[in-house]
Amino acid sequence: MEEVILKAENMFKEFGATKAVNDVTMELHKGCVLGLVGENGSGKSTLSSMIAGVYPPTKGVMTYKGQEYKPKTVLDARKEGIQYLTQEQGTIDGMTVAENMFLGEEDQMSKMGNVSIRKLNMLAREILYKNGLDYVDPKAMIETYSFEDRKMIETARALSHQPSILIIDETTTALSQKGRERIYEIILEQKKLGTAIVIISHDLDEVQKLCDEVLIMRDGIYIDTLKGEAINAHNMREKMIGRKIEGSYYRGDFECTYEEEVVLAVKNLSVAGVFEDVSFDLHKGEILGIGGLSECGMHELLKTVFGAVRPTTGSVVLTKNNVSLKNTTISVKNKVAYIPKDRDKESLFQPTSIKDNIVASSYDKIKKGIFIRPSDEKKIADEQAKKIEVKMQNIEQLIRDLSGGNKQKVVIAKWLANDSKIFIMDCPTRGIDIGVKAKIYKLMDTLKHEGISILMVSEEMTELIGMADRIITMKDGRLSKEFTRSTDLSESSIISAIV
Amino acid sequence: MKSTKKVTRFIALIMVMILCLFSIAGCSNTSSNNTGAGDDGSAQTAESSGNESGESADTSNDTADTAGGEKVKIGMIWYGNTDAMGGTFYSWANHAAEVLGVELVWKLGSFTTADELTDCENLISAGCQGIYFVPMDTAANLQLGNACKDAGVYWATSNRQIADADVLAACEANPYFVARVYDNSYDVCKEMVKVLADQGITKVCMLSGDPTDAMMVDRTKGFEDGCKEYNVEILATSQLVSGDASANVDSVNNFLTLYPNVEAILAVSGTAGVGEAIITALEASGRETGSVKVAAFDTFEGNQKAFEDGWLAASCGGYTSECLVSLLALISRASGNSEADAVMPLTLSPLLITSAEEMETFSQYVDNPDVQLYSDDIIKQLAGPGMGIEDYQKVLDDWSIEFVKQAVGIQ
Amino acid sequence: MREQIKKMVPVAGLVIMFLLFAFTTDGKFLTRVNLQNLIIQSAITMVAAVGTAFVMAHNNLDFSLGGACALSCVLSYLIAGQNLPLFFILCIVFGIVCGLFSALLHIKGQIPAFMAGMCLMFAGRGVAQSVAANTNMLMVSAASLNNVWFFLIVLVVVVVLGFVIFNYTKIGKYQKLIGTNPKATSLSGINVNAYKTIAFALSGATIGIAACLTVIRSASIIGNTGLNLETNVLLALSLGGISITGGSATKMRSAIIGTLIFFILNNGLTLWGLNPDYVDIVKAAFFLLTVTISIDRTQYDMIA
Repeated sequence: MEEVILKAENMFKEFGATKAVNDVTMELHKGCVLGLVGENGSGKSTLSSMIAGVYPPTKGVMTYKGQEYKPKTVLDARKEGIQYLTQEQGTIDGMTVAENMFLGEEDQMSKMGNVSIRKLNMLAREILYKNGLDYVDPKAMIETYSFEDRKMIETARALSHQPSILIIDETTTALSQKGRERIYEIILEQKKLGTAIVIISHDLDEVQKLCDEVLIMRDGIYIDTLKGEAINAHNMREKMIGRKIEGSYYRGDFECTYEEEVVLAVKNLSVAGVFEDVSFDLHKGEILGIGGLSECGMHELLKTVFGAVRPTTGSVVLTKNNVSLKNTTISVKNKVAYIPKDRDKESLFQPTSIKDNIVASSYDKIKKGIFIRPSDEKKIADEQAKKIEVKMQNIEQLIRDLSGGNKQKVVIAKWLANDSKIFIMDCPTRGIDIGVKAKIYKLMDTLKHEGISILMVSEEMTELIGMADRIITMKDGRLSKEFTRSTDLSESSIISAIV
Repeated sequence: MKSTKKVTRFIALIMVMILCLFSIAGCSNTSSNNTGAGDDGSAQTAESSGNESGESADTSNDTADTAGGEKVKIGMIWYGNTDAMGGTFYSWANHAAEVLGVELVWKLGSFTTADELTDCENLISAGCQGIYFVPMDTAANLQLGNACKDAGVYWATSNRQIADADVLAACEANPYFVARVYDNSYDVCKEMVKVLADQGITKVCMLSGDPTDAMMVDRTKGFEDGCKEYNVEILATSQLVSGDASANVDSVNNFLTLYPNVEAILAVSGTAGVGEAIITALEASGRETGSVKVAAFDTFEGNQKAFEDGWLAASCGGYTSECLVSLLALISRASGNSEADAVMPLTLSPLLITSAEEMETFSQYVDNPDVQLYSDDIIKQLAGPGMGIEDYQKVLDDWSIEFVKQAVGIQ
Repeated sequence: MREQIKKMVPVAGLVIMFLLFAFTTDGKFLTRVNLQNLIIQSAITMVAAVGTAFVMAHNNLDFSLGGACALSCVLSYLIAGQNLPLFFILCIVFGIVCGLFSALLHIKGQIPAFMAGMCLMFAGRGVAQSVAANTNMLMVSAASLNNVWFFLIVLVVVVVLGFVIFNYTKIGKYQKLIGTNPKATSLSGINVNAYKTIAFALSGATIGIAACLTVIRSASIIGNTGLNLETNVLLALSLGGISITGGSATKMRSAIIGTLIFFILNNGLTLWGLNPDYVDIVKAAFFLLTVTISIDRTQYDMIA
C-alpha cells in the first residue's frame, strides 16, 4: 500500500443531540481510491466535510502529510491541496465563469489590489481547455450554463491546482452518463498522478468499478472496510443496511399493466427553444417513464405539464372533466402532484417543520369554514409522516435536519395528504440512499395498484426499466421512441434512442 | 424539545401575570397615596377622575407643591434645538429655568398634532404642572388643550394664531389656557411702508402672499393698509412664489419693465431665496445701485450687503421673545404666582431693521444661543406675582433694535 | 435552547422595561391615566403593524404607510367632509386601494414592493401637502372619540382578527410559505400573486384604520398627517423580533410586543425627564441591543 497522506483518528461530530459521526478512524493513501458508502444520514458526508474544512470536528485529530491538520475554512483546505466537490451547486450565480473559478483566490491574481480581469479570463480559459471544456466562455455568466456544465467547471477549478486529496461527494448523481464518464476519466488520471481520492456515492456499481477500498458507515459509526474482491454491491448493501436483502428492489412483475382510461392527455405541447410537439397519453394506473439526457427538455416538459411553465403551443387536459392545466393552482385542485428534481430549491420549505411541509397543499382539504385548526394540521401530518415512515423525532422537527431521503419522503407525504391522483415525478430518487429508494419504489407500485397514475422522468436507465410500464425517450426536445415494459428491455437499447 | 417549549410558555405566562398584577397594584397604590405626600401623578389621577373638582382645587394643589419645596415642572414640546431660533429658545428657556428654580422637561422633534399630543400626555404623566408648545396646526390647540384640561395642567402657546373661530372659542373657554402669543405681522408691515414713505417714496410694486395662509394674508393686508395710510400708490401686485427664485426674478423684471417709475418693491417674505432673488434681479436691471428700494419681511442671506448698497430699506425678524414671554407667563401661573379669568392673547411685532448698522446688530445678537437678551431681573419679574396681560404685552412691545443694543450694552 | 432564549428577549425586554419604569418613576408610570395613555398612544402604530406583518411574512416591506395614511385621509375628507361614519369607511376603502396599488405595481409591474411603497409614500405625502395648502381640514367632531375605550376596542378587534387570520387561515399560512420559499409555494399549487395581493389589501385596511385613529387623535388633517408611520411600524416590528426576511419565523406577537416596547420606552424616558440630548442615544442603544439579540436570523445562513 502507498504511503499514508491523511489520517483522521477518533473523529466525532455532534449537531446538538445528533451524533453524526461517532468515533470513526480512517486513512487516505496516495494514489488510492477510497469509497465511502452508507445510507443517507450515516455520516459519510459529515466525515468528508470535516476533512474539507466545512466545519471542525467536535473531537478527533487529523494528521495530513505528517503534520497536525486543522482547517478553519474550505479555502484553508484548498490551499493545503484538499479539494471537495459536492452534489449541490458550488458556483455562485451572477458572476462570470472565470470569477467563479478564482473565487477566494483573487489575491493571488491581483496586482496592487486590482484583479486583472483579462489575466483572470486568460487563466480560466487555459484551465477549461485542459479539461475539455473548450466550449465554455470564461466571460459568460455562470448561470447561462447547465447544471452539468457548471459541475464540470467546478471540477476543472478543483483540478487547476494539482490536489493531494480529491473528495467527490455524490457529484455523479446529478450528472448525465456523459458527465459521469468524464468524472471517471478524471479519477483514473488523478489516481495515476498519486492523488488520494475519496468517492461518496449511492451508486454501488460505480463504487465497485472505481474503488480500491470501501469504508462503510451506518448511523455515524464505522462498520467495516472492504478491499479487493470483497468489494461488491451485495456485500456493501448488506453492511450498509445491517441486514440481508432479498431480490431486487424494483417492481417484481415485468408486465405492462394499466387501465384503458386515459387520465391526462398531452397534445402537441411545445415551449419555444426547449422542447417541441410532444404528445402522449397517461393512463389510469400507469407508470409512464420519460428518459433522455439532462438537457433534452424532459425536466421542463414535466414543469409544463404541471402548469408551472406556460407552453408556447399545445395543451394538457385532464380527460375526466376536460380541465386544461393552465397553472399550478388548477393542477393541484384537480389532484395532480409534482415532485421537482431540485428538492431543496423547489419543493421544500427549509426552515420550517415537517408538519408545515406536509400540510402545505392540504389546507383546502382540512379547513373548517375559513379556519384551520392546528389539531387538524397535526393529525394529517402525523398520519402521512407515519404512513411513509419518515425517520424523525416528531413532526415539529425542522425539515433541514433530515437526510435527503427523508426529505423526499416528506415531499411525497405532502402530495399523499392531498389525495393526489396523478403524480408527476422528476428524478424522484435523486441523491437518495438505497433504503429509501426501495421504499419509494414500493410506494410507487402501491400507488399504481390503487389506480393512481405516475409520470416519471429519470436519468437512471435501470430505474426506468425497473419501474415504468411504458418508457418514452426524448432527444433534443422531441420524442424519439417508445418502449413497452418487458423482461428483455435493455439499457443499451434505450441509450441508443436518447443520444 | 417539548419540555423546553412548555417551560418557555410557563415563564411567559408568569411574566404576563406579573405585568397584570403590577398594573392593578400600581393603580390602586397611587390612589391610596393620594392623601399622602401630594404626589404629582396621584394628583392627576384624582383630578381626571373628577373633572368638576375645578380650578380652585387645582390652585390649592399647586401652591401645596411649591410650598412643599418641590420644583415646579414644565413640559416643553419644541421642534428642535439645532437651528438658530430653536437653539436660542432652548438656551433661553434653560437659563430662565435655572434663574427661577424651575425644572423643564423637553420633548423635541414632534411635527404632527398626534405626536405632540402623545408628548403632552407623557409630560403630564411625568408630573408637569404646565405644558408649553407651538401648535403644529389649529387643532393642536384643541387636542393638547383638552388633555391639559382633563389633567388640570396649565398650558401656553406661541408663534401661532388660532385661525378657526370655533376652536378659538373652545380654547378661550379652557380655564387652564394661560397665554397665547402670535406674530403681529400686520403692524410691522405698516411700519415698513412708513420707512419707505419717510424716504419720499410714493410708487411701489408688491410681491403678495398666498391668500390661503392666514399669516401671509396678514402681511399683505399690512402692506396695503400702510400704503393707504402713508399715501403710497401700489402700481402692481404679483403673488410671490415660494421656493422658486427664477419666478420671483421674472416678477421683479416685469415690475421694472412695465412700471419704469417704480421706486420700491414690497415683499411679504424674504426667506427661501426670495430676498436674494429680488436683489439679484435689481442688480441685473441696469438701474443705478440703490435707486429702487426693497422692503422685505424676514431676513435673508446677503441682507447686510444689500443694506450697504442701498437696495434694502427695511427688513424684519426675531420671534424668540414671544416664546420666552409665553413660557414665563405659564411658569408664573403654574407656580401659583398669578391668577386670571381668561387666556391672555399677546402679540409680538418682529424687529424692524432699517439700516446696515441695525442689520449688523441683529445678525450678531438676535437668535444667538450664546446671548441672553433678557436679564435675570426681567425673567424673575415676569414669572413672579402680580403680573397681568399689560405687563407681558409691554415687554413684547419693547422688542426693538434699541432694546437689543441696550441689553448687550452697546451705545 | 439558545433559540428559545432568543425568542424570549422581546417579551423579557418588555417585562423588564415595564418593571424598571414601574419602580423608578415614583409610581407615575403605573397611574391609571398613564397606562390608558399608553394604550391610546400605541394604538395607531400597533394597528398598522398588524397589517404590515402580513406583508413582511411573505418577505416584502411596505414603505407606503405614512403617505398612504395621509392620502386616504385627504381623499376621504374631500368626499365625506365632516360626515364621520362615511369618512371612516372611506378611509379604510382608500387604505385598501393604496394596498392594492402597491400590489399591482409589485406584481404586474415587477417592481420590488418597497419601491412601490416608497412611490406611494411620496405621492401620498405630496397630494396631502398640496391639498392641505389650500384646504383647511379641521375635524373637531372626530376628537370626541379620543378616549381609551374606543381605542381599546379598535385595538382588540384588529389584533384578535389579525392574530386569527395570521395563524388559523390560509391567508396567514400561505404568507409564511411564500416568505420561506416562493417557488416551492407556487409548485405546491398556491397562487402566490393572489395571496401577496391579499396581504397588501390587509395591510391597506390597517393603514386605513390607523388613518382614522390618527384623525381622531389630531382632530384635523394636515400635510404631515401620519408622518413617520412607516419607520415607527418597521422599528416596532423589529423590536418585537420579527423575521426581516419573512417566512415561518414571522410571528404576529412581534407587532404587539414591539409597539409596546417602543411606546413604553418613549413614555418612561419622559417620566424620567431625561435630558433631550441623550434621549435619542438611549433609544438607539436600547433598540440596537434588543434587535441584535432577538431578530430572527434563520435565513441569514450565508453570512458567515
